[in-house]
Amino acid sequence: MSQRPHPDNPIGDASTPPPPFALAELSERCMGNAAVATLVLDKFEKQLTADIREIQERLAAQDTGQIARTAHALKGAAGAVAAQALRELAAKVEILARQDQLDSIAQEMSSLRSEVERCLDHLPTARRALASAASGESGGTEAAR
Amino acid sequence: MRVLVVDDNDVSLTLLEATLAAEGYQVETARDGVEALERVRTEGFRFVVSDWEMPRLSGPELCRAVRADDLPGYVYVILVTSHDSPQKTVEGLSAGADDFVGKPFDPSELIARVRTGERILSLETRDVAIFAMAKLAESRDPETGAHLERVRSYCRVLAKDLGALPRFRAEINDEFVRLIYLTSPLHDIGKVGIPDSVLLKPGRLSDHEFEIMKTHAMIGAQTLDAALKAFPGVKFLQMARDIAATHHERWDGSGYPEGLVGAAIPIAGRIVALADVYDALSSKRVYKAAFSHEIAKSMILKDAGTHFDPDIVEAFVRTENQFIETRARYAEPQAMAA
Repeated sequence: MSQRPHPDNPIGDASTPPPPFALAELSERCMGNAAVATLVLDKFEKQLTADIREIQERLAAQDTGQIARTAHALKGAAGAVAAQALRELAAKVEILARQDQLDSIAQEMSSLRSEVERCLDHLPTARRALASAASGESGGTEAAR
Repeated sequence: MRVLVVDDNDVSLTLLEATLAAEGYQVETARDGVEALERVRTEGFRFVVSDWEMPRLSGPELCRAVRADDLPGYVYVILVTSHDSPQKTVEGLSAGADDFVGKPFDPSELIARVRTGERILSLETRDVAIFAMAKLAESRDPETGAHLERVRSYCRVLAKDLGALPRFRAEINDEFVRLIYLTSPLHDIGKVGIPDSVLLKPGRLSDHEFEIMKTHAMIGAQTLDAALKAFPGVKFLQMARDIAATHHERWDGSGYPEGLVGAAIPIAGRIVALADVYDALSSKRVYKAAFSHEIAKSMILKDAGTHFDPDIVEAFVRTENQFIETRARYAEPQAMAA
């Protein structure tokens, strides 16, 4: 994890991991439109829950082809909402799945699950920050700029 | 402008749709390549922004299918991809993609690339203007109907087939195929200089009248020469000029206006010669009924090596089903032989 101050954690406290979403980037991607950001995050939440369940089920079934496809979709969605850590983990799982490395995927699953949970936990905060940024209010250290 | 956005991922699809809609584009969405292809075919989309990796039909597969289709206009395709290796770029370009946007995409980059595509598509209005000019010239002859539509389709079929042969590969590439489709409708543009008394005469032309009719090839060539003088090196004008000047030349040198022989006749002129004659034979005229495909085919086969380039006659035989399909698609009322 980077020790440099994160754009969404400008205080740069090294002991605190950056928030799961780079909100400034996400806001820019949504053209500063709160309605679009809310819609995108709603879809992301739905996909996140479905994809992690799918990967776990396919892992039990040893279906690396489907794991790769779902991890690829998760990677795309995470990239779209500027969830960089999740994107990297999903990309790793996708590569492992394409290499048929079921054991290594199983080892990555706890990191992937905990990052998914972190994203889900952070969604209400992200929604509020994006809405306040769009309406021109101060959003504190997490406000999209 | 209508844009079809294709992505199986809801999150990406929503962002793409919102970005383009905010710029005023009329955005519609498809969830995979199969749905997108069907909608391009049936709803006439000219602009597609598609994900690369999708179930059923991937972005590159969608491109290949669109390019293989006989669509009325060019379809501009941007692939959105996280693949940034040169091999993947080559794969995408080879499949027929026009441009790429990296994933996750930057909205301003996407908009800039869509605008570039729009500019390129707008060039096609030039193609429409060329065809309109050809139709205008043709409009004096009420009998010809969809003659130009059929001839350009026949030319494209022949050019594609010949281009697959090693000996024609250097001369007939994708650009040649596109250009012959664009310029073959201008083959008779010189008929604007033929008086009504000759052009519209219902009966047989006298020798003198036929000599006047034959001047249409040179009139067309001179008209396009004037345009070439103003815009030297413009490929479509050069091909249009070659076609107008030489589509009545014959392989054995017995044609007009110059009596050129064999390969001295530009290949585009040789292709149009066969396409034009096949259409004349298989269409109704005041002086004749429409011949069936089989009769028209036998007449063309008989003239291989005299009137027509034997290689092009062979291409015609290989692609005759496409001729039959084109003829049926642009059939005139009561024009088809029983």
